[in-house]
Amino acid sequence: MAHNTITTPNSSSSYTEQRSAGNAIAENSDLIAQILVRLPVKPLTQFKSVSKQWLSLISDSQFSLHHSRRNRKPISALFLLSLNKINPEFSVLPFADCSLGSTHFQFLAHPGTSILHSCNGLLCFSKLDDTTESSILRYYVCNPTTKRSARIPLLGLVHNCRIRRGYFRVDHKLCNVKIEESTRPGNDLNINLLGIYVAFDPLKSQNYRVVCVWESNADLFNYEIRIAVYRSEIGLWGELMGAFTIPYAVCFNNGVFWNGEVHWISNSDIACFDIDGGYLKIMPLPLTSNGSNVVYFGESNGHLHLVVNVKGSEALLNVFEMETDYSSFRHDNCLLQLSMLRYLQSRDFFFHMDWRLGAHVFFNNSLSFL
Amino acid sequence: MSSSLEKNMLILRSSDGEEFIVPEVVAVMSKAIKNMVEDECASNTIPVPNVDANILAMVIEFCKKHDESEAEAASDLKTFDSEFVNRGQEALYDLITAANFRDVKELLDALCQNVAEMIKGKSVHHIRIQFLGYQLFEILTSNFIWNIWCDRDFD
Repeated sequence: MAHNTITTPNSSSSYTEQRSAGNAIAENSDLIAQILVRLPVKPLTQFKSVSKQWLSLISDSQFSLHHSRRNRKPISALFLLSLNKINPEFSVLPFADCSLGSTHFQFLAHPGTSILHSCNGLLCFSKLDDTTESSILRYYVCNPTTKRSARIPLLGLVHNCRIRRGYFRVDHKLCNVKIEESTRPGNDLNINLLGIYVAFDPLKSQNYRVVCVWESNADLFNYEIRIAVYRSEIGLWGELMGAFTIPYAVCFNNGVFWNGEVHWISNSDIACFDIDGGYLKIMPLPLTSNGSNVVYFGESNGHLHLVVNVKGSEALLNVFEMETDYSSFRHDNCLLQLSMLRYLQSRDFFFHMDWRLGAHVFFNNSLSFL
Repeated sequence: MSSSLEKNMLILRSSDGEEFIVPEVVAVMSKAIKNMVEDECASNTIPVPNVDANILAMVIEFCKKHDESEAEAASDLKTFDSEFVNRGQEALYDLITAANFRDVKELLDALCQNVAEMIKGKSVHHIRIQFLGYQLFEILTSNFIWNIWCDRDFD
């Protein structure tokens, strides 16, 4: 009966009723939102063009917050980056039911573009802009799935490793970063950009932070670092914070955002910078013998994990999970099967995802889970 | 006997005048009815305007099942839910309106989930016909907005 509804005389009335029932729902934004929040992201982005009402419903920040809390998704792909900073090569390693491919990120594959950091789906990259009389590095934060990016106001001149007196021209309008005269030693001021990190938690807020760390001074054992935080909702850099003293061994290649803080590690310490509080603390890592080797440090499923491999007992991985209040690390051992040992070559890497430890093998670009 | 029946039973009257005798525990799954019962502003017969006998019967069926099967396995209830909401669009939309109006949370959840599944793979055009069949003007303007939105240059 449903098939010939169009031709039977009864059907026209049922069609009108159907329409009116549909309209009754369409007029109720709460109901539409209730339905839309149950949709996956892809149809949602398409349905933005259904009507103005739907567009504003779907674009609403409260709605997307609600949606991402409802639909917590596991990691869908790994984004692998080569260390070649000039011509970055990358590949995308999708897991099951992920439609992303390398082509999706082709817009990043320009010479002079380097990808600096990523956090919960946002990428931070820098691009060399040659159009002005001197080339300037510009920094961007982008969302690869929507391919929308936002330029982070000028930090380019700070990036020049050595800035001479009188050459220092950070645009004060764009960026509140000031370096006081008194902190300059001698004629030259050594400013090394140590890293730029993007901090974003879609479950907490739609706004992201960019954390910029540079070295203002260095002695034999310690850095003195200064930190500035960019807030996306106001589009400005905050006050320059620091100087913080931090052990030299701390590696700024990999900053891990978790629990509102950015974390860096050395072989023996962990440094945590509280983004909103603006303070830095340094804590010892567990297993701080010289022979230990950190194979993984990162965040997954809302937990901070550290995987350490002690020299001499390569088959044993020590997995630590940080408590949210930083009181202690929970310790867990993971005995590697012998066949997994070959993964412990330097070019392979480990990652921690959904309570499983995975390994990526470089030579055949494959993944396996322990 | 009859007093105990009156005590635990409520009579719901649909918009077209049909009456249903329902246990109170089932009726109060609708928050709106629950409020009325708690405020004691309800006599034995509770009118349910905007909901006709057909739809009201379905809502009561759903609530009864959910009330009975509290102890049952959740998977059974899920099967029931998915079969229950598997109806023609007309009934589905009427049910949603009723569930929303009477504030029956479990039913609304199941129904919204079903509609979401239904429209997941549909085209924008289809959705417009389904939900906003008559709003031609709206569609034209939203198209216009959409085009502007797409052309925006995100640097």
